[in-house]
Amino acid sequence: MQTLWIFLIACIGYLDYFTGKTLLTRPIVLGPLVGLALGNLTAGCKIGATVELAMMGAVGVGAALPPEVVSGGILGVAFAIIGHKDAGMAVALGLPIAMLVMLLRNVLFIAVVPLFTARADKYAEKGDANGVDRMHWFGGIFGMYLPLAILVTVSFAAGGGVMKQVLNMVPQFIQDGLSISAGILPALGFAILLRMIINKKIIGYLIIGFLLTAYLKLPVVGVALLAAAIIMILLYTNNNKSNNDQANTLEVDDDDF
Amino acid sequence: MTSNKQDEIKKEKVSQITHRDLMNVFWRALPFEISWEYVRQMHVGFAYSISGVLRKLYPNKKDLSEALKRHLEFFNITTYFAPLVLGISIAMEEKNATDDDFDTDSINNVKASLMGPLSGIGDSLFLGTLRIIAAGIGVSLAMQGNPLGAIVFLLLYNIPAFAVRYIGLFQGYKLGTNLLDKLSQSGLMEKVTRMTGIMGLMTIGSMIATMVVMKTPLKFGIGHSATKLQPILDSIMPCLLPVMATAIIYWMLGKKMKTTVILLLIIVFSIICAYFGILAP
Repeated sequence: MQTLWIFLIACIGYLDYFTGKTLLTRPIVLGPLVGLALGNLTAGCKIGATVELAMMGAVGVGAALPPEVVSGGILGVAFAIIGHKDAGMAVALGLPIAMLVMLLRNVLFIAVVPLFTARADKYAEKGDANGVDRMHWFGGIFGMYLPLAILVTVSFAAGGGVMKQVLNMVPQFIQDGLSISAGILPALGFAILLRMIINKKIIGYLIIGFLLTAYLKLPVVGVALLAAAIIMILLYTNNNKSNNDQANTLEVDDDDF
Repeated sequence: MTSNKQDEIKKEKVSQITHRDLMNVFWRALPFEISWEYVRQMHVGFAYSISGVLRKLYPNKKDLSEALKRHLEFFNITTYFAPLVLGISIAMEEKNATDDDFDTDSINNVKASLMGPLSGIGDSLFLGTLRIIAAGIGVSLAMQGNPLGAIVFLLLYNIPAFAVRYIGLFQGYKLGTNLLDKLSQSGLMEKVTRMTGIMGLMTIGSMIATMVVMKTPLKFGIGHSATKLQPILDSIMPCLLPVMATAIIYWMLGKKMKTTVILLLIIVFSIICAYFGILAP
């Protein structure tokens, strides 16, 4: 029964790509669902949130392929809940799974999807638009959706019982270490993001955001709203400046921190 | 006289694409990347999204075939901006269907020149900034065991994402080829990048302080007179260890270290620290 639920949750997760990259793949979304399926919604939320932070950097940017978060998120959260372990264990289990599935997914991209997309060329040659449409769906469903959803389900069915025993054999200091790493891993996600969006001219805002929370204990929502206010102020003052001025402030510099 | 006639024909033809046709493209562009593969990436997705319109514009099989092949060329983009490119391409295809002198290469040129910059902006805007803000707010709820965290996360992210899809498609169609010129002339894109950058940085700063957790149980001295290290660190600066960790990882990324390697290093480092009691969970 639980296996069926996990299959349905995997199906929801991979729907992400069919609904316009709505981020249904993310552990923060799938965690509560897994928790619900396994009878512990609260734990699902909490563990899902931690896994989300740890996998913050795992997102498809440009051509780089990220770890496969659906499998990692679902299985990590599920095994942690079944084994009555904390979020650190979910991260430690989820990450290797996500990497492994990423490799398998690459095989699909290289070997299976092109079977369909190559046929789209043939249909285009004949002017058969319906054929092209069909290949798009076939490629998505048989080349990506079903294989991955089934893979997650089979791993869950195979791993649940075994995983529980394995988890109980792991020495305490390793379990502690994994919990510690769950606290540090978000830093990797933030660092990746900083590499992406940092810019000398606006680096001060990073520090402001940090200080507000570190010293004044302002919650993240408060900081985001404050940022919105600052942007409004800047927009009105910037309108008076010339365009040249703006262009100059936009040189991106990656090497300074 | 002849040119007048042509204009008239064109005008008539311009209304060929209706609001309904564009809505059809809007829905078709949702599963844009499902048939992603390595070589031409989102090409079938693009052809699928636009094929309904092409069918209408080119009743002749031969023309339709040419158009389909044209849109089966390499394409890759942050998918939220795909409708914008689709809108522009549709405007161009519509022109091509009525104007014999139209150079079809220009359609692919426009597509190719749009996908790079738009992906850059899209990735940093949506995946880099909005996703982080949405996740930050969602996580802070979910950490308390509140399932609303997931819903808030999805809403915060997807309302702007769908707005950009919708507006992009219709504005792209309306402005056609002039769109990118207009945007870059007004400096709007740069402004958007900069403003969202500010928001992203402030939220990340705040999240480093709340969501990166490192605490040391180390003490100096023995028994009751022992001095704990953590309060000393806190008095220097709260969240000192998380900041240092983030800075070191940032530096490692700058040294072109792979994220998987860093990830493993973090786990090994954590286990070692747990074994020697340097850090506590």
